[in-house]
Amino acid sequence: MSEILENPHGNCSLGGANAALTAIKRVIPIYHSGPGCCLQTTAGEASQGSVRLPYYVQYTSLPCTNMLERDVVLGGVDKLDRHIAAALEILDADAFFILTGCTAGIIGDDVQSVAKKYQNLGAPVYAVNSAGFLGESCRGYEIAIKALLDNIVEPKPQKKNTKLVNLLGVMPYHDPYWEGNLEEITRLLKLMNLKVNTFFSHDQGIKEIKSSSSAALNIILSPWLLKSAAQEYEERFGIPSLRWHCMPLGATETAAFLTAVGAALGLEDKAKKVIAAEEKYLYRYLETGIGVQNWRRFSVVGDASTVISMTRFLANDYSFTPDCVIVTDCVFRPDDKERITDALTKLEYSRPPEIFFTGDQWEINNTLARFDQTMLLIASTNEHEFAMSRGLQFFVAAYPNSERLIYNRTAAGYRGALTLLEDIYSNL
Amino acid sequence: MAKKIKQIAIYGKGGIGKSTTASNISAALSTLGYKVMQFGCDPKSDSTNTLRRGDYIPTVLDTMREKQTVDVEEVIFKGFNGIYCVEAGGPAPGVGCAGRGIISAVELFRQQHVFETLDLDIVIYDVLGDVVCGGFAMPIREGIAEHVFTVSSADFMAIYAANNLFKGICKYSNSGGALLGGIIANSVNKPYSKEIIDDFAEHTKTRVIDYVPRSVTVTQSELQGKTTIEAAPDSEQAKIYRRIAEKIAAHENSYVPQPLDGNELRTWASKWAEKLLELQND
Ligand SMILES: Nc1ncnc2c1ncn2[C@@H]1O[C@H](COP(=O)(O)OP(=O)(O)O)[C@@H](O)[C@H]1O
Ligand SMILES: [Mg+2]
Repeated sequence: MSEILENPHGNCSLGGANAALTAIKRVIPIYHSGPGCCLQTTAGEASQGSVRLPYYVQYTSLPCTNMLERDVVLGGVDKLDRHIAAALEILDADAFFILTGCTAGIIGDDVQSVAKKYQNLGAPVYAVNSAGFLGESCRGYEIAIKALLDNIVEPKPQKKNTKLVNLLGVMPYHDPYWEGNLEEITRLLKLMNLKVNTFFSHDQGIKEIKSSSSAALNIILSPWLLKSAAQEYEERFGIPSLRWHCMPLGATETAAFLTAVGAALGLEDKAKKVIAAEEKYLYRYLETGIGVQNWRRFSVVGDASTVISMTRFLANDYSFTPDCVIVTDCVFRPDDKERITDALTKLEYSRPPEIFFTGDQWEINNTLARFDQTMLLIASTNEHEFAMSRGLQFFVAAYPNSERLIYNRTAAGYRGALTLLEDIYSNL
Repeated sequence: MAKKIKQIAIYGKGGIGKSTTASNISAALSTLGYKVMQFGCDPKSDSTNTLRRGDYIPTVLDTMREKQTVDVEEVIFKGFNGIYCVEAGGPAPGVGCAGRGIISAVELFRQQHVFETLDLDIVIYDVLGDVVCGGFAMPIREGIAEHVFTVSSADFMAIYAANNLFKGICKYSNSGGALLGGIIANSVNKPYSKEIIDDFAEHTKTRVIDYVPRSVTVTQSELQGKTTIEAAPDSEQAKIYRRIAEKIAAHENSYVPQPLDGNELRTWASKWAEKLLELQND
């Protein structure tokens, strides 16, 4: 976020870290920040992801040190210490993560020592250096995963569980469909007799995160996130990674994904069987829609994983024509940009879309305006106004989503293909 | 109309003699009849010691630590000849933000209109060496000090700090910040020391307002917890401090210095290094 952004499509790293960590069951953050940061980031990243109140402990009930001038000048560690003591007294959680805001980051408060003090007393209190200026939500998500690796993941796993996989790369709340998506991918992997750690699903928690070091494979559903976490799992626990360039959606992409998982774990036959059964289920429905559903030109705006999955599904499986794809993530490595561009342009037979990387609303709107053939826009609430002004068909599939309640609706796998088509042919 | 209070900031490398010079100037100004406040802006908080018989006084930040609101009366202490002494103080070493501490302390005084209430003529801010962050530049920003003097010896590190200060002054000069009053050369005893400082001043389009020799009188006075003005008013050294005080009292027009950039400064320094080697070998 080095330039001025109009209507950012994300929050700061504090918001990202908070959204991820509080998506874990029975986890409470303790904010060590100015009073505004706490409200701004909790209302920012997480609650714009799906119109829900996401936390185990919510909004204004979150402990926050409310750093003021004297804490900046004299250091805020004593105040933090008192807040932790108070939080431990009245709140019940499996883990408390101290999240530092910019203020604490700039003055370099030694939060780690305070956390250590409570750890030595047996309390699960962990320090996370999440100062907002470190970057945007994506960075915060990576910081959260690193905090789990540093503090929660079992450092010396007893033995490998050859049936266990970790499903990573899906940012809680940032992906409005995150829970439904995790459920759908988990459902498919379970059909292959695998046990799946998702960390963030409502039926999982600290126990699953601990056991992640004994997994056989990390599946990372993102074209660019978690490179260092993948490397750390590999180096410390010998867990290889299968990076999939997006959230698999639709028959073509999901079959390729399951085949790759099968190949990585020696479950090729199992994968084939699952694919066959699922396709049968999917096509049975699709058949009933033929003739009713007409062709569209479309554009997509959103995070890298979402735009790839939408574009590939609609172009490869549905013969829609992609016009313009805008990636709002702040992708900074050239090779990542290349991987994303590849995934968006190497389509089965469709003409590839034009691709742009920007998170700035002014640029996004100006870019979209150039594609006047587009009929359908899949984007975030930020683009809703533009779609209305052009009379485009529109629905939300990316952050921020402050217009549509989403519980377990999915835009992944086979079931997700059906719900997505329901969406496309609903608000006509 | 209220009279204009002359506000002066003194900067320079740590240990170069800022507090010694500032305290002697304050003492001299007060004996000349001016109402003076010396405001120590160094977390070391020893700026006004020789004005108060070596006493340390509670600092603004100490008081801030103990209480929710700070009443400035509690942090102003009278020293030699009625000089008002204040120390901004700092957080414990290694924690918090000393720079923000300076801002907080100076703002507190402004908010409570202390200078006007005390009917001061001159305020001298004695500020820590390098302008390491925005906080230490506070006294030279708009509406605080008007004139900056830098204390420097002929040592390269002291000159480096002075040059950095010049950069800070340039930065704020367009937005109503303080301008340079001049260089106070300290501990110049060797003839070449004077030459070096003069040459630096010439290169940066600045002026040396006076030269203070290194003198044992200063040390003796300090050991008694006094300024030279108080302990040895008739000494040669006291005369020099009085002379500087008079110049500062009369000083009106400050200016924007022209700092050297990194390369220029290195080239300048290495030229002098060669010259000094020649001197040694002669
Ligand atoms: N002209 C001088 N002659 C002798 N000693 C000096 C002179 N100027 C400074 N000193 C001594 O140098 C030491 C550091 O000076 P001080 O004023 O505390 O530096 P600063 O405030 O720049 O850190 C003190 O012990 C002081 O007595
Ligand atoms: Mg000093």
